[in-house]
Amino acid sequence: MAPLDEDVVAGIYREHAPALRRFIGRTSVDQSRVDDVVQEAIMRVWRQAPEVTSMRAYLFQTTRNILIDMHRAAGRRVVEVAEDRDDDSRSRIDPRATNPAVEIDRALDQILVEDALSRLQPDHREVVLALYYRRFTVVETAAALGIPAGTVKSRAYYAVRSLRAILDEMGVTQ
Amino acid sequence: MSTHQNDDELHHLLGAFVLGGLSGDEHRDFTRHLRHCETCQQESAQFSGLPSLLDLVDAEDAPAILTGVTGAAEFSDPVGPSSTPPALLDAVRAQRLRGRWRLVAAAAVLVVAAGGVGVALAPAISRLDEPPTSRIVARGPAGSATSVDIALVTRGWGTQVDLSGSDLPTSGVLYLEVTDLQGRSWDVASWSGTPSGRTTLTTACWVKAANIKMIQVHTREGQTVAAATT
Repeated sequence: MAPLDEDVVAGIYREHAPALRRFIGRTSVDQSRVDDVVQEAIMRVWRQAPEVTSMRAYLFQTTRNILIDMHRAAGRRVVEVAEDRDDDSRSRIDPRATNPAVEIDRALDQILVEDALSRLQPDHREVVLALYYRRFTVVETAAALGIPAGTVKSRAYYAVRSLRAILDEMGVTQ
Repeated sequence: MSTHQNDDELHHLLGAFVLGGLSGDEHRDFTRHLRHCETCQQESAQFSGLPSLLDLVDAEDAPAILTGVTGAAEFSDPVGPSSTPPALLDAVRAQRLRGRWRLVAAAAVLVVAAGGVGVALAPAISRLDEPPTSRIVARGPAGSATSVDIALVTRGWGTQVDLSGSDLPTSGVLYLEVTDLQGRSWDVASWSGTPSGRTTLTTACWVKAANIKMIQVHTREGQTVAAATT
């Protein structure tokens, strides 16, 4: 028997809601609405029942679209208020209010990169951490991790490939 | 190019080339290799966006993410409900029921359409013998096997309702509720659940079949057991 819809939705919520909440929390959306946005995104995805390779990527994109719609609605209100005043005040509108996609896309990319890093194999992750974030050399990394320098190089190579593949799967094409 | 490194080894330097950390000699060797190695050129192009993406993660936050035993899912997760919010599950149930009713309604239209063809082709006498009847199937929520066949027979005094259900609740009192196009509802039958979960009965209501919009079987507590729209 197919799983109950409630079980499917509860499963999606359990697996993805924390990451979605983290994403929404980094945008300037009213933080009291974070849970509303998470629920709306999951409902939309459940209703559409898309055939996708990555449910997570689809959820993130859906959440992004909801956030942009919310910002646009808020932005329209700002413009309406501004139009009641003179032209001068309209020109002072925060550009993010009229182009919310910039801030939201940046928050989304940030979350997706964190997500991708967390999905790397642990021995690949520690090499990325040492080489990129700690700015260690290959030799320093080898000493810190107690592995040969050649192993650091090959792990760095496979870590970069995995990272690219995971980001591609999540729809990050940059 | 250094003689002690073959192309495979040089190829693998691409990772440390992208992430940083090559010594001056290795960096020079790899840059030379890159000029004539098409594979490395292609891969290098694929990886060229990675540094700016990695820069989105603050170097101070990175260790917490990268060394987290359970990964980023646990990293600075804002406090939120750990179990699925009831409002979300309620929305799913409501949506599912509406969707199901639409499906059942579509099926009912098909049945009626097929019946119409049958009537047109059948001898006139059978039309006189058989009053207009529409048949619908009411089903329970997803995951339930409950199925109730309902025939709505047009009579001069209203509608005869023939019901035959299976996998119904085996205890408690069940009600058959008819709702008309104006949204008014009446319980037109009540009976006790049977151990087999099967029930067959006939009842009557004054509402014309054409004005019946929805039929539901529900419990005394008001929980819907099966439903269908006409």
